[in-house]
Amino acid sequence: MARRAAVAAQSADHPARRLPQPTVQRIASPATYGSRRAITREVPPIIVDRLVKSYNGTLAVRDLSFVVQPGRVTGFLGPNGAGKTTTMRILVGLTSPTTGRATFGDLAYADLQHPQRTVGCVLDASFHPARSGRNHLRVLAATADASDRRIDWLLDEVRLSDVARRPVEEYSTGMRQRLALAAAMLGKPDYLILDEPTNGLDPAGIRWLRSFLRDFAATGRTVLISSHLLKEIEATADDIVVINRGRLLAQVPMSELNLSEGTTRVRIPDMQAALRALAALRADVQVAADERGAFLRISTHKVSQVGSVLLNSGIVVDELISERRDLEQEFFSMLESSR
Amino acid sequence: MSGALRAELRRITTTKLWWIVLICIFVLSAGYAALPASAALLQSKAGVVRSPFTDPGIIRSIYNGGNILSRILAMVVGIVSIGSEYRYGSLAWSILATPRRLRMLLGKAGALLIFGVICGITSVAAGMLVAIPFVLANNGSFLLDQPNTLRSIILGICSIALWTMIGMGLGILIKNILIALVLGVILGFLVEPIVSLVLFLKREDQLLNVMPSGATNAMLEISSPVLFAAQHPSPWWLAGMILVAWCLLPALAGVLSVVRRDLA
Repeated sequence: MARRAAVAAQSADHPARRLPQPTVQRIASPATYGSRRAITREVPPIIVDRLVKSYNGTLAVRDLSFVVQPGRVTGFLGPNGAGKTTTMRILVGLTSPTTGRATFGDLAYADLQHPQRTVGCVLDASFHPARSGRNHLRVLAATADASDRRIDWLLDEVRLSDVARRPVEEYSTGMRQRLALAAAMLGKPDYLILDEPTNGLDPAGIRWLRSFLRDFAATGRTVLISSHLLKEIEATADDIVVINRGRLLAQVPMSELNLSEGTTRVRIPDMQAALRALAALRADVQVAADERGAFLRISTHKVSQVGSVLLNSGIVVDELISERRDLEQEFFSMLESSR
Repeated sequence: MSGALRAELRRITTTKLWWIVLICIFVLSAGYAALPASAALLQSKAGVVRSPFTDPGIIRSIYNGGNILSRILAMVVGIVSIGSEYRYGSLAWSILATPRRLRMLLGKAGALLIFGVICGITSVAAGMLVAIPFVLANNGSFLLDQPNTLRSIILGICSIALWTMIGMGLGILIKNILIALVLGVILGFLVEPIVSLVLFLKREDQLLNVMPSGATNAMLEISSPVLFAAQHPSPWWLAGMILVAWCLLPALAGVLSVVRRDLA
């Protein structure tokens, strides 16, 4: 329902009708990652409005509109080449849009008075190899107005204190990613824009990032995170924005995906007989296929009920499995329906 | 703006490049300053020149003896500081910190100019240190009370700083650091001297004065034939303006490309 609403909204003409109503979040509780911002503060949403980006006539982003609400973690999903990174780079001014706007409230990134104290970004973990991790943060601290004490605190937080004075060329991919996260947090920002931040992170790092993002958003701040690890997004995000070929497919709160409602998968030699028998269940039955061939997906999580119906009808069953409906399934279903 | 400048100064001083370059400049400048000093001493002993170390021209050439190499190294610093950002993809951090790209580039230019001045001071300091034993041993004078000597020292420092800017312009214009370096060094050590030699032999003083090294020589009031300097150099202030124009030429083209283009 929400997906249909989002796609339908995209086709409307007026931007105000097409975008969900932006809300402003007040930060009232003390923030874990910056006591300076513990005072009450308004964080406007991120607004992507009719964004178009064309590279030599090829559209990377097509009339894309969505809103990222404050106080929530928003997962930004799409297959490779969907336009996620381009959208994020436009948002922080590294790439210019062909038309449309991507703003933090009313302000484009370049118009922010203190960019690093407003937005923290992890877009790629590229560093000068000869510069130490600590010195990299010191360079950025000059414009972020961050003290050496904060640098050391952040290095400790991302577990890089021991290697902080070693050149970045000696860092693993995961260590570089953690350094990039520390750099993003230097200015105690209100927004985090993270493109594949889990790349190279070990399981402990991923778990740390998950709780960190939850804490961050809990203080009323905004997180936009892209990742191919759908399980991670499922565990972390409050909302998801799904795009494909530069177009919005859906903007849905995770709570509306009803991920806990599962399905039942049945693999049967005689499909027709099974379809006739399962009609008694009054559940949706779809014929689907995977690498092992065709199977039936029944929209009920009551496996025993399905098994009883088939047994009573004398139908031979090769496989009978309870499928938990997860984000991955939902994601591919969205992609499938967009084709 | 001050934050951007501070960030860029930290960027320069947080790799090994800065002190390696300064050591090279000091050692090479000392070596190159010893050449005119030794030549003057030999001429004095041969009776060609009397009291060479009281001659303002000779004293100035010792102080600025390292200029010819120091300015090339300063240019290399300019190229590397920008080129390495392209090479390692770290320019995004600069833009994220200072999203107004012109302001970001001005911060880089300011920091490089400051470092160029330090390079210049190092070069002149090496020349002055070399001058000490020659002057003291030959009853000479450091001539530091003469306005022309002080002006020559200051302009020597400024010229090296301006060559850092030429390097920065090249680095912005040519995004491949290796190509920019090779091109910069070839231009500085090969093409420019050959063109200057041809112009010198043809006595084309006007053209010589608009070459980067010709303008630098004119700034320093050097008229040595060994450096293919014009017999009638431009006034120092005009030469300074010509050198500034050489900085701006590649920088403007490069800045336009950085300000307008998407960062890959």
